[in-house]
Amino acid sequence: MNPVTWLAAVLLLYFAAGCTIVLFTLSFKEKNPLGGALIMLGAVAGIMLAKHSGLPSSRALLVGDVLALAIFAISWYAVIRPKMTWRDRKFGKETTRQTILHLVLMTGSAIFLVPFLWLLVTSLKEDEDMSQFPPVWVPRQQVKIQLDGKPAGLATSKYKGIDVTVGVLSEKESGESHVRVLKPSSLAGQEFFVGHSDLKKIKHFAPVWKNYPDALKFLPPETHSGLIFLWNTLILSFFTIIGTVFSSSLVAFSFSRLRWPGRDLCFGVLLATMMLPGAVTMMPVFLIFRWLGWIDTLYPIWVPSFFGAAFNIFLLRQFFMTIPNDLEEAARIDGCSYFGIYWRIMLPLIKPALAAITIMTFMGSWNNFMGPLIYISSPLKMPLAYALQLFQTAHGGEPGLLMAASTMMMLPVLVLFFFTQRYFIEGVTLTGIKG
Amino acid sequence: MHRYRKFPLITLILLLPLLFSGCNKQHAGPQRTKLVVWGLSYGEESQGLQAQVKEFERRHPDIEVSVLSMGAGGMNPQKLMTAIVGKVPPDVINQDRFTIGDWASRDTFTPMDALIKEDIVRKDPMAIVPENFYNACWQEACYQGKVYAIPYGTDDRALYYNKEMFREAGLDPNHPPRTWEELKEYSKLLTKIARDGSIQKIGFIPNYGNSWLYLYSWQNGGEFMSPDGKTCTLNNVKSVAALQYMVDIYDMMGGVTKVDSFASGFQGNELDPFYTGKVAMKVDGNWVLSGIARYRPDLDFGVAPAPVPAERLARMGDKAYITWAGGFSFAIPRGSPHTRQAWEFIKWMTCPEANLIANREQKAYNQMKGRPFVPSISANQRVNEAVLKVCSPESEKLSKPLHLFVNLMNQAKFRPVTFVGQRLWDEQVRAFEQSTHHAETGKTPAVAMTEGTRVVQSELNRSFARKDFPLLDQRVPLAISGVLGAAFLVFLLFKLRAILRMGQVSRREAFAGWIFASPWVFGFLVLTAGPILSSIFLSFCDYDVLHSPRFVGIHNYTELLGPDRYYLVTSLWNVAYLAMIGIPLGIVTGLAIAMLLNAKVKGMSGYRTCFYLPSIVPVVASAVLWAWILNSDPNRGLLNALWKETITAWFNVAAPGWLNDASWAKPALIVQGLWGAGGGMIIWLAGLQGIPQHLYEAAEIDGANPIQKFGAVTLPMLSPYIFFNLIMGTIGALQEFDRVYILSGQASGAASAGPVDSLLVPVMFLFNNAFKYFKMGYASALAWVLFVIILALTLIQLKMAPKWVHYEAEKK
Repeated sequence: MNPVTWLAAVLLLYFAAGCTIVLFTLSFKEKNPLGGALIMLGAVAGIMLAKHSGLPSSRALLVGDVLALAIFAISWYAVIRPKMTWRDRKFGKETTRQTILHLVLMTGSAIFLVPFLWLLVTSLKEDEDMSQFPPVWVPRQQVKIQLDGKPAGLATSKYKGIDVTVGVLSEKESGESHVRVLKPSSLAGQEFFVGHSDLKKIKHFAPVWKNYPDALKFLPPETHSGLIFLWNTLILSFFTIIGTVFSSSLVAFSFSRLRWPGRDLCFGVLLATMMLPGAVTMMPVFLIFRWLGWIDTLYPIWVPSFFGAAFNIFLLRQFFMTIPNDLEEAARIDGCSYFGIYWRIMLPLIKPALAAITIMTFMGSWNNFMGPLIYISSPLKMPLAYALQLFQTAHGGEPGLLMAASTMMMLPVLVLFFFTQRYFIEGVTLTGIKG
Repeated sequence: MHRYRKFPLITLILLLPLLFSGCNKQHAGPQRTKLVVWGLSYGEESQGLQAQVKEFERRHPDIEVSVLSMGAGGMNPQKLMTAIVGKVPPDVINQDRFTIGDWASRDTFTPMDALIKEDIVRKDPMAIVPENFYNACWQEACYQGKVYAIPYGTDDRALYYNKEMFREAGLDPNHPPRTWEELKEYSKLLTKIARDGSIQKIGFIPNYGNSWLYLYSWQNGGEFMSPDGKTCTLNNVKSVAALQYMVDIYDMMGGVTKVDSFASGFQGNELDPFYTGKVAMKVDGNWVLSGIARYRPDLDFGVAPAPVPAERLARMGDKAYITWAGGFSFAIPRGSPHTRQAWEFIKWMTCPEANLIANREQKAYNQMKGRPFVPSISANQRVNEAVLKVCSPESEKLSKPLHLFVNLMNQAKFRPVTFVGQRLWDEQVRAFEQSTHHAETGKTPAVAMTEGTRVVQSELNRSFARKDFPLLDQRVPLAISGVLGAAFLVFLLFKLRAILRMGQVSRREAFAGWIFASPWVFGFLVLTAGPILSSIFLSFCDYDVLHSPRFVGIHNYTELLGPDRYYLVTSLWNVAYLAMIGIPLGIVTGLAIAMLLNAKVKGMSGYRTCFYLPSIVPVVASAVLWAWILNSDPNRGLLNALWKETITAWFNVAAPGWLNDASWAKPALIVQGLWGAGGGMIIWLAGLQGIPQHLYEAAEIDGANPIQKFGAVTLPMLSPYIFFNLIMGTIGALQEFDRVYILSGQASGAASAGPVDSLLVPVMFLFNNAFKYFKMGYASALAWVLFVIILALTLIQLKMAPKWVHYEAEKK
């Protein structure tokens, strides 16, 4: 197909689809069954023609599109338009706009979701479908039937110049298969030997779930099928979140609601540290943790979070600043301690911000790769992200396993996202405060 | 103060888990000594190994062997180094032998001479007898006259050829090529090019299989190091000629990029290109035999010694044939608390009896699975004699090559034992890459090899010159930190005095303020301020953690900006490329998506989710997924399948090699980054929704069309957001590491980051120096250079900002 035809076909297809939706909506609004029926007819005719014309797909698509559009035009000018009022036209305009937007958005979403789909499909495909052109989009397996009480795969082949459907009785190392003809009935029951390359497997839709348990099976036994990795990640996330949320909010409270000598200087220093690339302190910090004997433990990764993260402190300080003084003063008059003010009054007020920070911290620690890469060496201490990378190094040539492992690693994050979308979005908006 | 009672209590509760996890370790103390072994891997194919280890445990009931197979051993030395430096080394490591010299020179392994001698004096029947090992293997495990490792397995290389393909091409299947010239000629005859110019079958790929530059160079009489180990001779005439020979063959096939993109479709196991008739000849190791036995026992193949230059064959006759032996050996890392047990384990693993057990077990397993068994070669000749007697494969097709491999061991060369072994390896790989990619790099073998020689030589010189630098006087850093600590104390005292002078209420508040801020203050002092100081200090030192630091002045900086400029410039250029194309593209995409998603349409939250989802995928998972999508073989990589179906079909433009191609690797990274462009959407949306509607209405009244509205209203109003994204993007790009580390193949221990270092980014360069070579001083210097660059860029952007960033507030 040349690019111009292709582009034309795709654009026409979009146009036809758009017309279908718009006109269909309009005919419903008009309670005009004839128009609706005609449009459906146009769409069906287009699809049928595209499918059964026997033309090369691009041309069939073109012809189908044109036919559908012709029927649309007739139904539009002859049936729907004459009955339309001014209000209907306005409605029609709005529907058209909506439809165009929907089509564009759908296409965009599809582009962004295709890698996910590919991930999922690859993790469910058979090994022999991994390298196929054009790519195999549907996980499939050979159809199996029972022959002589044993499972046998179905395939097509040629026998004496005739296309036959056969059941594979056995495969030999030499590259030949022993097969029995099933169809056509005139040859049924005949058996012969055929090379692998002359045998085409009949496949049906069937996901290969095996990749998932297999991926876990290839992990070292002491990791309990990877549960250790999950556990380590959870520990890591748990402590990092507790540490970050507690210390950052406490420090931010001190910076925003309490007056103490040296505060502004300290805050200036805090802002300055945000500019500092982590690379500068990476080596000395490693030496400190080495001195503490913390190499190959999870401590170097989560303990620092208990000292507050500059960015989060800054964020929460901005948040604290927006809270009016009255509450605080009232509480102090009632004899509440400073910690009490922080704990009982301030924290509940900034819950949304805390939730956002929790989520961001969770994502950060779930994804943390460089920390484990530097500090962790034994499998029993590894978190998921690092384990996945090592898995890739070991099984780079087995995409099924690799994609299954990746899916398992990203699934919790995706699930979390679906349940806490709001906080995700708030969190990102927060980080944009400076803008 | 009683009001803060709860605070320590809560802190204590929070710290409890830390204490508990500390205690757990002591509770679980086993009675048996746990011997941690790295570098052996258990799996389906290791039944023999498992039996061998089990037998050891049976004979030594007080020892429990724990074999760790993930992330340890292998060609990536970073983990082992960190473990030794971090004082948690494994007890035994099965290490690639050619790196032993490097490890030994850093005092990271325990010398074994005393242990060997002790056994011989005791007349221990298990004693290690050096004469039993192949000379090449034993010598490779010694460094400066001391034994640092005991050779375990070995392997050597020869030419495999597919007889079937020979017949097809009209060649005599019983006459494999004997000389380089024949090899080249055969290779041409055996190669088949498809009509669209891509390779269908290939005769011979010089570096496919396992030969590297080393074999060709030795065949041509080249050596890599001078005998005294002080000079690197990588760029000697003979080695350069050998590399030229390799380059010539690649060029004959249509260039390395074409060959690589053909090779990127190669699969493993039963679909191995040599079995499936995609590759007719390859120089590879003896281990390929077991692969053939397992996956393609019916393959019609032959094995012959690797071809040598005709001139050499004419001069030396059959003695001209050589091979090179590699393999692994067992070493005991310094600091292991169980040297005795480790030594027992090593003796067991390398003795004939144990290997017989292993081979018998593995053979039984293979027979159960219906596969022929081909034993691997041991570095111990006695083991080979014993094993071949019992376990030699029945079929002559397999046993003849096996015996050829074993006999070739006597003519084996081995890589020079030097502490720059890893560097030398990395540099020969790099020289090979640079000169085969001469179309892009413009480098001839001689130039590439000279560059590599310079790097290795500077490493050598640095090491030898190291002793000339004075040891760092420990009192200097102590004094400096003492002075600074005192200054901080004085500062605190001043503040304290100020606090004490306050009224009661303010004093209380000030105390609370300091206490509440103390986690950050403490963290800042210990994890930021202290490290910054020591980082400055380190950058003037030579420090590998295991030895005491030496003061080298600005040597690290001059080194970085002088001889090692190539790396610095390459990494900065790469990051500049990624940033200058990636960031604007990201901003444009993000903004376009946001504008689309800002429209009022039903079901918008669903669309937003779709666009946003990719940005929350963990970086590692995303990189793993994209490495697969970007696979350059259209049969496997999704993107190139699409490319082949459209662009190749219409314009006849071949699909790019993405991560395999030096000039496409960075675009590949940018494409992967764009997938996550939806992540910035929410900020953009906030910006878009913050634009007052009346501005648009005013523009509309003035008769502006949508494009004018966008240019006159939307863009200026969004400029603060663009600015924010630009600053964050720049800082982020300069610190990029995770995905590049995975996508560039560094994670798999590749020598160069992406083809021809096309994905070497500054932080990766730093990481390698800091945690792979443990050159802490050098890495610190690099970090500061990086910091200065980031600072400069940020300041420039801040300076430029008023010219184009429009703040609504200013107007009011």
